[in-house]
Amino acid sequence: MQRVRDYSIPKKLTWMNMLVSGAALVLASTAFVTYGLMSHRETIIRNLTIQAQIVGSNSISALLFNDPVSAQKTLSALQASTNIVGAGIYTSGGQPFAAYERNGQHGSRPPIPPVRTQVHWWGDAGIVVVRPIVFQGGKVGTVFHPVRFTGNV
Amino acid sequence: MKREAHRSDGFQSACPAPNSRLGLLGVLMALMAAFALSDVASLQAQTSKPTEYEVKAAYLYNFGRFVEWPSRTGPPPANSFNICVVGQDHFGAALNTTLADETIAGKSVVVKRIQTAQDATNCRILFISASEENQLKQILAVLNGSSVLTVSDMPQFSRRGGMVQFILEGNRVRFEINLASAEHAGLTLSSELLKLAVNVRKNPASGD
Repeated sequence: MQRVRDYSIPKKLTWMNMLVSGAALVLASTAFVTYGLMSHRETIIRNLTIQAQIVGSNSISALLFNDPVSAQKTLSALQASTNIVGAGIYTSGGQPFAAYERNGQHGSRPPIPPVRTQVHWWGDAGIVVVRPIVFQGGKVGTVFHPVRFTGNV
Repeated sequence: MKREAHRSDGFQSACPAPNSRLGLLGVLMALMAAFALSDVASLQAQTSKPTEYEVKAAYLYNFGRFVEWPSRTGPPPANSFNICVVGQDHFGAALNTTLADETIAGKSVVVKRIQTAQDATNCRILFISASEENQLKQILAVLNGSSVLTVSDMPQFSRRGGMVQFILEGNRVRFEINLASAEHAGLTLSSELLKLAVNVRKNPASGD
């Protein structure tokens, strides 16, 4: 095959154009995919945080009036999503109050400390959202919300 | 088990996250250790089980957070949120200690022990002791037309027109609500409160 060095000038220019265009295309695609994946991840975290917040706020009165059965009913609505591994409500002192576990996968969960921050980890192809339950300016409990991703997200 | 194997696009994660079950467990254990070093005062407060009347005192406070009082058109409302007790006081110090420094709707909670229902005009919540069982009809008549949330643990209280009746189920304090009485007094009870009630009566007082 003819070596590039021996190409005619028009042919060399064509190759250079193709090279530059190709590189620009690869760079742009990479940027789009990166942005897409990062915003996708942010969307997932945001949606799960909202879900945890809804579950939490529907459990406020159950926590204040010590009614774990009512909190359990609130959590069992999460059955609808197959990705949700489970959810737990903890008292303001960090003690387990009510829990939902899909297919009993996780056994007993350790008492979690009453930290004020929301934390989410990526671990084992899943995400855990931990969110304080706040009512009228005071923390009344915590929601612990692990979700497993099955296949593509 | 590599985390990357689960991602179909083979894209490297920018997040420096634990990539194994052990990693997640490690983080959980670190948090538990942090908890052991943190303030344990709240934990100590919960190690002794609350008494029945300490629980009822806390519930009186929490009722106030799930009920809306009508905005008054008459004389200006009191600067404090008054929770009153009439009749024999079984709460003792529990009511004062539980409600100390608490606020409802921006107003400081004040506990008052009163002698007659006539003194209850400035009360938001009135706990009627079981000792007043024989005077209940008169008490409720005096309160008719005012926006006072009536609470008691005397038997048949909600059937007789009281708004919230404490009920003991095993060792758990539950409550029954007479919604008709509450609405007649202009009070709006949150659905979050109603869903927890053992029973919600929708008929006004039936018999005495």
